[in-house]
Parts: sequence; C-alpha cells; structure tokens
Amino acid sequence: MVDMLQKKVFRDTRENRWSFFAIVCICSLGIALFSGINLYVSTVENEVADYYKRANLADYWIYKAEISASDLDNIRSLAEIQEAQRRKVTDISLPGASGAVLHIHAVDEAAIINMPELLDGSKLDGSETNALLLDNRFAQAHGLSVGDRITTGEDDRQTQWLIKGIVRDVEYVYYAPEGLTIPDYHKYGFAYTNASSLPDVAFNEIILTVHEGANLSQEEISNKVRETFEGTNILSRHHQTSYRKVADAMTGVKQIGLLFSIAFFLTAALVTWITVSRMMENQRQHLGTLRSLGYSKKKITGRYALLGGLITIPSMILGWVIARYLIAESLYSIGITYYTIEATGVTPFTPHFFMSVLCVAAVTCGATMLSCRKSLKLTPAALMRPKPPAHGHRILLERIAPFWRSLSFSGKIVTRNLFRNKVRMLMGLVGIIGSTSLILCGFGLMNSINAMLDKAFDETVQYNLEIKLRTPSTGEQLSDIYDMLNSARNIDATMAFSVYLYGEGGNVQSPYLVVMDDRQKSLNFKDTEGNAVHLPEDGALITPRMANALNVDVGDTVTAESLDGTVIALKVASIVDFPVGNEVYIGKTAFSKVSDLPFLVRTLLINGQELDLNKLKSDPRISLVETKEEMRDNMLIVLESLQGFQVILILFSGLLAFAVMMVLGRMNYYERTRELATLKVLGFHRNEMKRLVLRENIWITVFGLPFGYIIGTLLLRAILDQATTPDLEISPLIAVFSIAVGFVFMLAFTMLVNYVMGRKFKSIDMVASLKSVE
Amino acid sequence: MADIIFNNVSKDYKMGEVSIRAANQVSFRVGSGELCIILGPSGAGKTTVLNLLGGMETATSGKILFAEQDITTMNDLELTDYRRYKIGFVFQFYNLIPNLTAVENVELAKQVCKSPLEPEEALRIVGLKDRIHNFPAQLSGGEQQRVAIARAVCKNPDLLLCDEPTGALDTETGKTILGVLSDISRKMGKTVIIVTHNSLLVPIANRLIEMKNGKLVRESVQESLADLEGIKW
Ligand SMILES: Nc1ncnc2c1ncn2[C@@H]1O[C@H](COP(=O)(O)OP(=O)(O)O)[C@@H](O)[C@H]1O
Ligand SMILES: [Mg+2]
Repeated sequence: MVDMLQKKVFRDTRENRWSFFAIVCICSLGIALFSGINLYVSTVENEVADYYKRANLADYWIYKAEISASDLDNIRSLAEIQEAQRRKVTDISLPGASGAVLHIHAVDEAAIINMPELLDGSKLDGSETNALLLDNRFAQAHGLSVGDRITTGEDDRQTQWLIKGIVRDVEYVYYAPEGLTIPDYHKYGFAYTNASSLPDVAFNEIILTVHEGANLSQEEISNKVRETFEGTNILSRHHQTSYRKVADAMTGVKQIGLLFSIAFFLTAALVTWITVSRMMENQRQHLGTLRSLGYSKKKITGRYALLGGLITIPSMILGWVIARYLIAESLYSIGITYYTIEATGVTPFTPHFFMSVLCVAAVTCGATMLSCRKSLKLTPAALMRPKPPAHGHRILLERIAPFWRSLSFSGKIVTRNLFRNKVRMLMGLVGIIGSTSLILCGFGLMNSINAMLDKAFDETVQYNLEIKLRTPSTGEQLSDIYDMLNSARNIDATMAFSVYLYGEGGNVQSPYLVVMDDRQKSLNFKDTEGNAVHLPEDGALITPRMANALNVDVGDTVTAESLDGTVIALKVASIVDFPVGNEVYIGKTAFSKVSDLPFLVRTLLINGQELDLNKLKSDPRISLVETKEEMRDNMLIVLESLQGFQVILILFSGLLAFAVMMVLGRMNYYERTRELATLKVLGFHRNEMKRLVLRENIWITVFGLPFGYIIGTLLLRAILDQATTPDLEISPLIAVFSIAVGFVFMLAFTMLVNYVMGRKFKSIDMVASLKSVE
Repeated sequence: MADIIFNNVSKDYKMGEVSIRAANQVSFRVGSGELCIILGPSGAGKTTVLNLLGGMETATSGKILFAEQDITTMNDLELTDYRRYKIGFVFQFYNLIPNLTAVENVELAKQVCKSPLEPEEALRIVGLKDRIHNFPAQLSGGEQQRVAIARAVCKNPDLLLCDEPTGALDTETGKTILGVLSDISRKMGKTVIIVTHNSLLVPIANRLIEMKNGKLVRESVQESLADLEGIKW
C-alpha cells in the first residue's frame, strides 16, 4: 500500500523532475565511471589469470646453449620445483613473407607447462615431422589456415611445414618481441613443433613452475637454479614481456581509473548532498504541516528517505548500463585487439559496482534524513513560518567602502546575493571546480603525453634509426652492415642486456643495462635541472623513476645482476631526465672498470638520411629496424589506454558540468520565483531580471575556474604518478590552449543554462507566486 | 484623463474540466486621483479585478481602459512597460527582496522608472527614516509594509494598487498604513485602489465598489470623507 505520505514524496519528485533527473544523471555517471573502469580491468585480469592457470604458465624460463636430459632431471629434483620441461627454441624466417619471423618451440613430450590452446585443426601427436601449430594472429595476418604449407629458411636450406593446427599461447598474450612496443602480427609469430623436426637445434630452454606453497623469493629460486646448473640465464614471469606488459597496463588503468573516478565521485557526491539538502530545506513548511497533523518524526523521516531510494535505484540501473555497455565494453574492445586471449565478454558485476551504489544510497538517504532531522528539531509552528533570512547583516566586501561604492546597483545586488547565500555558492563552486578540474585533467593527459614524447624524441633522442641485431656481435662481424650505413652522420653501437638491480631495502628493478661509447652522440642526456650530462668515466646514469623505485640517490651504489648471475656494482653517477625506457646507461670505460664482459654490439643507433631501410630489414642478422617516427607512434599506441581515458574523462566531466549547472540553475530559479515574480510585477524586463539574478552564476563559474585549474593540475599529477612505470614517466602539463578551451567550455555551459533559465522567466505566474507566504 | 474604465470584464480560471468565473461582467469607472476601495468577502473576486487592472492577468472578455488605453489588447512587452511606468503594487505580504536593505528595495524600483522619486524621499513620505539600512527580516510588519509602499511610490506611478495592505498587520499599524495611502492619494493626487474585506475602512474612500461571487453588487461615491482619526476599528 502506498500511503499518503509516500504519495506526496512521489508527487514532489514529479514536480521537481528535471532537477531530480539531473541528480540521477550525476549519480549514475559516478557509479558508471567508478564501476565501468573496474569492470574492464577485472574482466581482463580475470581472463588472463584464468588463462595463466588453465594453460599452466611457467614461473621461470631458464636459458642455456645446450640442455641435456640429466640437466633437466637435476632441475626437476629441486624441492621447490613442481614441473619442468625442456624445449628447443629458435627463430625461423619466412623468406616469402617480407622478413616474417616465427619463434618456434619444439618439445619432445606433450606440453604440460605453457600449453598451447588449440583453436582449429588438431594437435601434434609426436610422430609427424615438419608439422606445426601456428599462432592464430600470425595465421590471420597472413591468411593461413589448417592444411596450408609454409616454407622457411634460406635459399638452399628451405623447409616445408604443414600447418596442423592453429593455436593461442599463454606466453604470448601480448606478443611484442625484440623491443617492439606494440604487437606486429604480420612480422612476428610463434609456432610449436615436435623436437624431431628441429634436428639441428639443441634443447636450449627449460620452463618450470614452482610449487604453489613455495614462498621463495625470485632471488632465492634463481640462486638455487644457478647452483644446480651453472652458467644459465634465468628469467622470471616479471621479466617475461607478455606477462609484464599485461600486468603493467592493467595496474596503470586500474590506478588511474580509481583516482579519476574517486575525484569524479566526490564531486558528484558533494553536489548531490547539497542539492538534496536544499530540496529538503524547501520542504520545511510541508514538514511543519505534517508534524502538526500528528505524523511522527520517525515516519516523516522514513518517508522522505524514500527520496534517496528514488534517486539511487534509477542511478543504479542507468549507471550499470553505462558502465557495462559503454565504458567497459569500449575499453574491452580496444584491449582485446592487443591481448590474445579468449574473449569471454565483460563481467557484468564487480564489488565496485555495489560499493558505488551503496555510496550513492548513503549520500542521498543521508542527506535527506539529516536535513529532516535538523528541521524536525523545531516545533511545527516554527517550521511553518518562513525561515528567517540569515541575519548576517553585511557582507565583508561592503566594509571595503571604495570597492563597494564603485559597484553599480545591480552589481551590489549580485555581489550580496552571492555572498549571503553560502550554500548556493558552495554548491556552485564545488560543481564548477570539480568538473573544471576533471576536464582540464582530461585535456592535460594528452598535453602531458605529447610533451613527454617531445622531450624524449626531440630533445634527448638524437638518432633517427635504431637497428637491433638478432645476436650480439663484435664490430668486425658487422663491417658489411656498417658499409650499408656509410652515408650516416653518426652511428653508435651499444650493448644491452637485462639485469636485476637491487637497491635499498629489498627494492628490485629489472631494467636493461645499456653500454655505450663514452662520447656517444645518440642520446643527449640532461639532468633534472636541464644541464647536459655526459657518460661518466665511473658509474652509471639512471632515470629519476629508477632512483625512486630503488630508493637511491647520486653517489649510492646499486648491485646489478645479469640473468646468468654475473654481479656488477654500479655507482649512481647522475640522474638523467629521460622519460621513456627502462634502462640504465653506462660508458664503455666505466663498464670495463666494473666488469670484464666483452663489448658485443646489440643495437645500432644511427643518425642519417636516405638509408635503404628495406635492405636493412631483409638482412637476416637484423631483427628490428625502427625509425624515430615509428617509435614515437608506437609509444602513442601503447598509451592508447590513457587516451581512451581522456575521451571518457572529457565526456563525463562535460556531462557532469552540464548536470551540475542545470541543477544549480533550476534550484536557484525555484528558490527565487517569488523574488522573480516581484521583479516582474515591478515591471522589470527579462534581460534586466537576468542581469540581477543569473549573473551570479557566471561569477560563480569565474571564481571556480582558477581553483578548478589548481585541483585539475593536482589530480593530473596524481594520475600520472600512478601511470609511471619503469618504462615511462610523464610529467603533468596542461597547455594554455587546453586551459582556454576548458574554461570556455565551462563558461559556455553556464551561459547555456542561464539562457534556458532566462527563457523560463517569461512563464513566471506573478499572481500565483505572490499569493501567500511560502 | 487617467480614468479607469472596466467594461463587462470577466475572468475565467480553467481548472481541468471545470471553469471558475472569478470576475463576472464587472463594469465600473474610477476617476483620476480618487481613492477607491473594493470591498467584499473572501473569494469575491477582488484580487482578480485588481490583478486584471495591474496587468498581471489577462481578462477572458471585456475591456479595461486606463488613460484611454485598452490594456486587454496589450502584449507581454507592453504590459511590462505598463506595470513599469504606470502602476505601483502593494501586497498583503509585502514581497520585499529579503537580501536587500529597505533603501535598496526602494532603489530597486527606482532603477526601472522614468521620473522616479529619490528613495530617501519615498521613505520619508511613508514615515520611515531611521531604519532604512535594515534588512526586511530586521523590520516589523508595519515597517516592511511602509517599505513596500515606498517602493511603489518611488516609481512615481499614476496608479497605486493595494491588495489587503493591512491584512497582515494589527489595527493600529494598519491605521497608520492607511493614513499613508490616503495622504498619497490626497496630497500627491495619485489614484489609489485598495482591496479589502474590512468594511470599517469604507469612510476614507471617495468611491466604494462592493463585490460578491465575482459580481459587482454596488458602486457608490462619497462626497464627504471621514478623517482617519474618526474611524473606530
Ligand atoms: N489562479 C486561480 N486559479 C483558479 N481559481 C482561482 C485562481 N485565482 C482565484 N481563483 C478563484 O477565483 C475566485 C476569486 O478569487 P479572488 O479574486 O482571489 O478573491 P478575493 O481576493 O476576493 O478573496 C475564488 O473563488 C478563487 O478560488
Ligand atoms: Mg484577495
């Protein structure tokens, strides 16, 4: 049964339907943002985690030139090891397909770790030769399917392979080998075959899983393995490209999303709270009447709490639809193009959703009940009398006589209105500051990314072509490649290998140690103050994010351990501000002082024009040829999740701003109809009324904008702090143009709302509004 | 002459299916400079007539002439200007702007007029001198009504329309307010129309219009006016 009081609340809602609708919009946007991003992240994380489990992803990868069956047994006999398998791993190239490379794995027994997942065709039964299971992305890119044959190898040593099955593999969820930043399915793929099909290749890799209970650190496991098995490289999951990239991306999105949606939610909650309280304030006479009719306080409060429910339930539904079908779906559809996993679709619910709904319920019901309780403390008679206007005689500004005198009459009225109605001003300010900061943050994200790329690629990077070699080589071995490059202005050969870096307090990082010529001209290093830094004769250069992560400073020494266990002590000579790359730089001289490893070229950094890139690309020793422009573009694609955010950010903040302005405008209008009717009776024209009543909205916006800018900068900084990975560091920057656009946007919204409200002035019924004391 | 002529004026309020005739074929004439009282029980249609005359509502049928201008044919803009330049309104509940001081409330009206009085002058006329820098909430009902009258007078209108101006006041205060209104009529030569349900006010008026159920039941002219002091309340 709906009782009369409930009926009244429903009817109030209908009368205020537009404000009500705007509040529902604000709340649903909050819910949507908060839960939508989380839905996406949870979906991917769960799918990936599931997949890792299902396909039994290895915990460690061990590399050695040759691994015998007894080596494998030794590893297997270690207590902590659950399972271990050995594989032959090598790259085979497809001459026909413009230098495409297949990373081929061969096992001599059924795979139990990193099990490939068959999508089409059939598995290998172990007996066939020259049959393989092919990467489905690679197959797609080349239009290959089960039963097709592919040819690999050079001129006289070609092999024909039969594609027996199309597979997906857990090691290659995000396959970007050889320092690629994004997958290139046309160029790189993987395949599985029987060990017998690769007679010339030795077993050279062991993959293993650790017992789930074993809580040994990565370091301890590595040591154990190295004890048993000298001279090996060991790689943990956290070093494995695919695993790391997926984890980093998800953490980034999650943390940024959390920060942003909390900021958004806070604005929404504050605006909702104030609006609902104001709606209740406008109900005080009704409350008085109800009380005098004998309704109990409890009953009245309970019924008004219904208002909270009336806001929460539609917000919940609308919020979920937006979260699920707009935010999560769009992020997911972008994500799934890079992550090779079984797309099971977005999870419909996460705890975040219920949490945000609960928050909305708490805010709306809390606000109604609290203001109800506050009002109901008064006697019914006191409630029915109009609320005495605040006795705050004069605003502070009036004491500044010269200023006050200089104001026009309407200026005085507007100013006084602004300052005497603090709740109204507060609500406006919160809304404006919140939405301005979010919009600016959205614009700022892009500005910051571009500024970072400019800094990295225009200021620091002085080469315009990078060539990676498949295997480390001596200078003499590369003489013909140098010949190809003889038109280049500068070539720096560098050596690079993965290391674990141990800093203070157990902090570990896994960067590349890059050894370069002392007088290299490829990277124009600068310290954080912008002074040029050269490679020192002692010690290495690290980035600020590395210094932070390791908790070290200039002069400290960090221990670097290469994957084969060689330990090098590195003194931090200087901290250089290079925003991209997870690398530590050291000069040849300094390197020779701390290590006796020979200098083998891995990468060539080239500054030159009109080089024959195709010729370079077709050289079998070269695994990657990438121009500066390509690096930059790929970087941008990696940052796509951030850019996707930016769109959501700007869109949502815009909607929030609009809804807030709308609520503000309407509340102001309804609370002041009596005043407006009086002005109308006095014969004020519409634009004169606007000047008196609506101009304050513009002032509120103008006051709010600078604060919005400040908060926006802080928010952007916090978000970018979260987005900082070992690979990437973005400093907050909001371009002047963006600020201008953001400000204009907000002002335009304010004016639009003013315009809409101004039109309503026409329909004010003077007689009805002035009939009695409201 | 700035006479007021009502010619068969009717006003219907439509409320869904039913329609209420709040003013039914009302005809009367008020001369310039007169003080006219519209008397009648609650619901008689007095306010309706006043609002029609003030250009706050439009008549359903009939003609209303003020200074030979038919206000029933005016559009929105013309009606606004009519209210702006010709009419001063005084309400039962004052309707002052709460966050403007007394003098500022008066100044507000001055803003939109062609030949206004000075706000201080208008406040002096209504007998409010000391508390002109107070906010409405700091003033008594009588003082607030004085401010409201000052606001209307300040516009220097041809016609002052007062709807139950003493309705919310005690008798003594009501009396002084009426004194102010009758002074405005007699000394300043303004046409003043006062709506009331209190027949005791009748003696101070030049003209009396009595209404009942939306109809005009009697119209009378009094030549000899009683002094305010002589009236027993
Ligand atoms: N806006 C309105 N809608 C419907 N009926 C109205 C409206 N205004 C007045 N009435 C009706 O018109 C009649 C006359 O009202 P009114 O002029 O206010 O009377 P008075 O001022 O003499 O008390 C009343 O019966 C009232 O119910
Ligand atoms: Mg009335």
